Amino acid sequence: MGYRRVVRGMSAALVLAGLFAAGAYAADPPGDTTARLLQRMDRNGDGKISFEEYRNAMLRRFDARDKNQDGVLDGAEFPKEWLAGAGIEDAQHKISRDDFSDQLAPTFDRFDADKDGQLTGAELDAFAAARKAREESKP
Amino acid sequence: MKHLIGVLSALLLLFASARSEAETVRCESTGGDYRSCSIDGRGGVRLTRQLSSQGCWQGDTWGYDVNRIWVDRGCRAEFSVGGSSSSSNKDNAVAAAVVIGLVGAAIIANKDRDRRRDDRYDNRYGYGNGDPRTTIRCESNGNRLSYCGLPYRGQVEVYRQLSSSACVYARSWGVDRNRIWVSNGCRADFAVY
Repeated sequence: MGYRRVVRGMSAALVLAGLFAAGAYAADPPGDTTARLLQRMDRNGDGKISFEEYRNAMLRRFDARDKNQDGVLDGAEFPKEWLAGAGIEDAQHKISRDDFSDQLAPTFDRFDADKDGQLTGAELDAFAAARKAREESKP
Repeated sequence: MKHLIGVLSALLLLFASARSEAETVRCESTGGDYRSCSIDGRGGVRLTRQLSSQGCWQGDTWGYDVNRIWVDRGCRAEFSVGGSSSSSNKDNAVAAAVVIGLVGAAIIANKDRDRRRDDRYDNRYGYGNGDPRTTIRCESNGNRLSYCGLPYRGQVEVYRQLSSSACVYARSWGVDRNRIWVSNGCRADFAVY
């Protein structure tokens, strides 16, 4: 009896610890997120992301996801999470490389507040936090 | 006044014709080889659509002068030649969401690598995320030539330049069979895909 209680108490503690860890996971300081993005994309190491750096990184990621190399992300290549909170009715659930490619510049420009062709400082923080911000706006 | 109008309309005409003459040229480094494509580059050249996963970096793996575009190391792209810049303004909400989704995946993948935990987005289906299989640091100190071994064959690209001296393919870095070479003060982490 006592043994069971201890076990139950321990598993409750574990669940709590797990929740705590999940909370810590969600509450990463924005600086960390930005640093991770820079680590992935900042080829010349200047602490900014240029359009060229972004274009190259994004297309490589798209192509790596396109396992069957048909120029389209669909099915399991296109996780449902990507549309979470975006408020889009998307029956097809597929995206062609050309459509993706055409959207790179408009999306970059949306975050490049001062239009200098580089994401830096607060622009970069907003860009790095974009998905999380969208997921949190999910109804 | 008449002169001014004449000059202005001539300029306008010139502008309008330059605009309409924008031409799309596809230039592709297939098999990783250097390739050049003849053009009239006086009106400028812009990369409008990158077709390759392999990097297209201006001045490194692609460039142009008055009569040619060149591409190298697997860069394949479409270029707009001699036209004014026209950006496509058609917003595609799904595409925009996917762009942001992939940015998030990049951040989370990195976090996973850092912490070896929770892989809810990228590895659920065993999908590659576009990260290099490995990176190798190779440094030319005092402008000397130096070599760094490659563990396996793969596409090699500059991942992060560490030096203020530019790392430019064939000039200050290159790949020679199973090793990378660097010179002229190029210091960088190289990605092997």
